[in-house]
Amino acid sequence: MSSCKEVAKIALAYWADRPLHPKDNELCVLHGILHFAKATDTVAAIQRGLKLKSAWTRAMGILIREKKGAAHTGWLPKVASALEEFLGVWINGAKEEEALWLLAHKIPCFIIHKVPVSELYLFTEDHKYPDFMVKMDALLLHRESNSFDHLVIKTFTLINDQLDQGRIPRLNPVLCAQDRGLSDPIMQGWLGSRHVALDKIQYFSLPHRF
Amino acid sequence: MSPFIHRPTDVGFDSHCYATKRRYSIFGYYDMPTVNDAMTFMLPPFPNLHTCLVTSGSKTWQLWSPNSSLKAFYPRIHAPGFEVRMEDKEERRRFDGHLGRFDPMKSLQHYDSHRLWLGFVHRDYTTSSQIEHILSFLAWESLPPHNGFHDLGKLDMAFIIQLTS
Repeated sequence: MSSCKEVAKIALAYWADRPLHPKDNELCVLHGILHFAKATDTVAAIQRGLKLKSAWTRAMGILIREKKGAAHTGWLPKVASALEEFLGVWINGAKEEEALWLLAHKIPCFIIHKVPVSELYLFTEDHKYPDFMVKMDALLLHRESNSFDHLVIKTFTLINDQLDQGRIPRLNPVLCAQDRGLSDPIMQGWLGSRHVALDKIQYFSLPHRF
Repeated sequence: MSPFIHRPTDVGFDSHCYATKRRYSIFGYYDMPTVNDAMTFMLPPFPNLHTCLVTSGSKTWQLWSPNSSLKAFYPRIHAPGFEVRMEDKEERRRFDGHLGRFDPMKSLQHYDSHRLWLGFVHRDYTTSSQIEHILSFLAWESLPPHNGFHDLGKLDMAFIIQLTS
């Protein structure tokens, strides 16, 4: 961690927000006899802390190596395939130089775009899912795939299914067409099977091959 | 000490159980979305497009990536100032101990420039031998009921050592 103090020189905010858990006293709890729920919550919290520390160290390693903040200001000729062992981010609302930095470091980047009703005919029916869970990685949390939830069925544990919407805004943010226009892959230059700019690069590079 | 390896044993009783009611791990994931689909800049050219459509209620969204073929869950946006943390009341926690759709260790979130490292979190792999991905469930050693408690046990020592080293 001492070498990571260099981070402070690059961006004090990153150092101030560095993940500190798990601490030694949190780990002591694991020894001895425990209630199952306590063990589950404690281990889950420790594992979260370890994942977070690992992610922070990896990202800070890049910042130290590059000796600058997480912003890519140069030209990126094209988007390379991501390293899919990382979770990645939704880049809607991110600044351009931040998103380019993530893409340059092969972090999986995802974009959500609201499709106007008038354009729905452009999509074939078999590509539509009825909710955000279908075929998504979060399906692993479902009780059919989740060992913890599977226990509940086996042991007749009571379920708390009381709804709680308090932490979610009730309305979508108000965005004008200009704010959201470029979340559409077509507006980004995607022509259905290829990107218009890569097509041009290929076309203009043809003479060099002969 | 050798790394933790799950070896199922039948000790005649099973204390893998919860004393209080809790939430399913998937709780909240199917709620109606609040979406931020802002995008105000052009991406560099991308050779591949990975996309799918989600229709929920009367709205349709296109979820796509210029660099990843994975299908990612969209967690939605949360209220300003909201901080993801473990609930104080046990009955509001999930069975597997994760923190719900805004848990950045479980699902990718909207980019936060103050916590740029969240994109570098390793995806969960059920087959991974890394200690942060092994289910505590597998390291649980059941103890016989005591003083009316049927949920007592201890964690495998190799698992604890690996977790704390």
